[in-house]
Amino acid sequence: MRPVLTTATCACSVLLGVTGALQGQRTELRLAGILWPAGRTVAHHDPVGGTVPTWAEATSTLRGAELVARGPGAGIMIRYSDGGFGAGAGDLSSGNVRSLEGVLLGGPRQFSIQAGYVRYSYVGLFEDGSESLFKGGVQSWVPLGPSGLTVHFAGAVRLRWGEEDPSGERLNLVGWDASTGVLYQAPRGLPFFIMFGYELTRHKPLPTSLPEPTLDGLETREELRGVFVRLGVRYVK
Amino acid sequence: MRIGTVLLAWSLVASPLGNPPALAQALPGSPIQDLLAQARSALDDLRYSDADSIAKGILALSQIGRGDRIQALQIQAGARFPDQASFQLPEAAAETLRELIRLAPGAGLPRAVSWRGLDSLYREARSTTFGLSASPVESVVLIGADGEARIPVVASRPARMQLILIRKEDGSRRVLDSIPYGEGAALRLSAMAAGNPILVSGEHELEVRGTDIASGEVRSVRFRAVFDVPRLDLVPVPTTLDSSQLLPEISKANRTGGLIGGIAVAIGTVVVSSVVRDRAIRDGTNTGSARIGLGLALGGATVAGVWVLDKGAPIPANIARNQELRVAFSREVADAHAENEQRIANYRVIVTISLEPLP
Repeated sequence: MRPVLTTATCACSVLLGVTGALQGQRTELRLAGILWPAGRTVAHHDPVGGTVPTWAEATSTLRGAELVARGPGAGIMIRYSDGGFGAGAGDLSSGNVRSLEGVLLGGPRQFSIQAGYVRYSYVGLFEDGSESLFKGGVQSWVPLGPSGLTVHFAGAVRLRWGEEDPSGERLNLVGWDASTGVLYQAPRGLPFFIMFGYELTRHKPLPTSLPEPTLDGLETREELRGVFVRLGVRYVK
Repeated sequence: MRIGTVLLAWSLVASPLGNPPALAQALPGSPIQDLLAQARSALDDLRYSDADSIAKGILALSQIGRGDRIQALQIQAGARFPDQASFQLPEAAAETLRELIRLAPGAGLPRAVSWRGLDSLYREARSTTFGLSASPVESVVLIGADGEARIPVVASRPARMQLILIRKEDGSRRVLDSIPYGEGAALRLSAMAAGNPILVSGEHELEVRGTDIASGEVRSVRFRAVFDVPRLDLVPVPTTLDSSQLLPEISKANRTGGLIGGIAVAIGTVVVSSVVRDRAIRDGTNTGSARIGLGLALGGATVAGVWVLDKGAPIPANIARNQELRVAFSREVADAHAENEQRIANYRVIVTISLEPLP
């Protein structure tokens, strides 16, 4: 499965990259600070009640930075963010979340493939840990004429290598990333931009001692969502 | 008796022809020249009365030439105020001198008649008499926009001077040049003003007009002038670039794209905040209306942003095309100006002026 996905991703990237080059796509360098007032929800089973699903929620503002550098047909994106949720709440949603992503981009900005690596760390009340995830999907940046506005859409799956299936070790689909947004950059050559949007990530954390999956198939899972703001500099030539 | 005989003979010759000006040319050997010679001879022989009479007879002729009239007046002045006191007629001499000064303020008195007393009388008469004379060139060719003929003008006292063109057909007058103050100056006759011809072919009159600054007395001298003015055909110079040839340099606002983008953002936000979510978590939280509102807010902001911010984009191809048109237009204008300047430079007006002033 992994070779197939890798080959398909590379093939699409090369194809889209060539297409982008032929279309005269421009280069872009973007450096932004991230403010993401997000809500974090963790769904689990009550460790005492057994089979009754419950969830815990907390909010925080994730802060981070994002660097994007891309040429006519390919590019790279690096993003880091962290934040502390529900300080003192004493439930599963409380804790510090940290994420570091490195993603390769292939294709024109209007529609490109993204594939990369995510290092996700969590330090909470009942569990600590970090895990490595693979990420693959698409993203799109479509400028709306000379208004200076650009709309953004992205979607990706989160994959983890492991034995979560009776068939043995394989890449397992454990989550999703998705976002929409609007970027504004003054069209008179000023390098500053601001972006608003909505982003969601969800995935199933690694199994830990608490809580355990139950017979009805409900596993521990968590979700980060909310409106984000990005401010930074952006050069497009 | 001899003088009267000559004058009678001249009258008999002139009258049948009906063309007295022809006799006023005072060619060598002409009757008037003979009379002037006789007057000078009488003056030299101290026959002042005879000299005065001959000069008076000459001056009585209506068509006498200006030069002959000046000579006759000079002789008459000498005859009326010789250095022999017994023959001096101061009042009559002064009147003769005033007439001489009115006619030719720059002529003065020839050495043959001049002596200290007469010079003093001349200066006195000049100080109280306003006279004006002009000395145009008989024939001149005015070339180009700057081509001009200068007409020297002399006044006995400071005066404002004007050169006036009088059209013979309708008598209309046009001031061609003026000098606000001066006793001696040159008035300019130009063929063009501001790049346009101002002279018309045909026979006209040129009037040199002087106004005494002190007394306001006006004297004028008029000359017959014939202009040979060719037609000046100038190439029309385009004034404005035909705007219908210009292409739009700014594109229209892409509001449809903005609307589509806004709708896509709205739908995308709702989808991301609902469909993509974990079902168990989504069902356990109550954020349905909030995610729709969020989608509408982001989508609406996108549409509004495009409507407000999209002023159109420059169209480089059209800008380049329009620039080519403007350059071509400028070149066309420059070529027309150059051609017209060449035609104006080659423009020639022949001016012929009768040296004898009109009566």
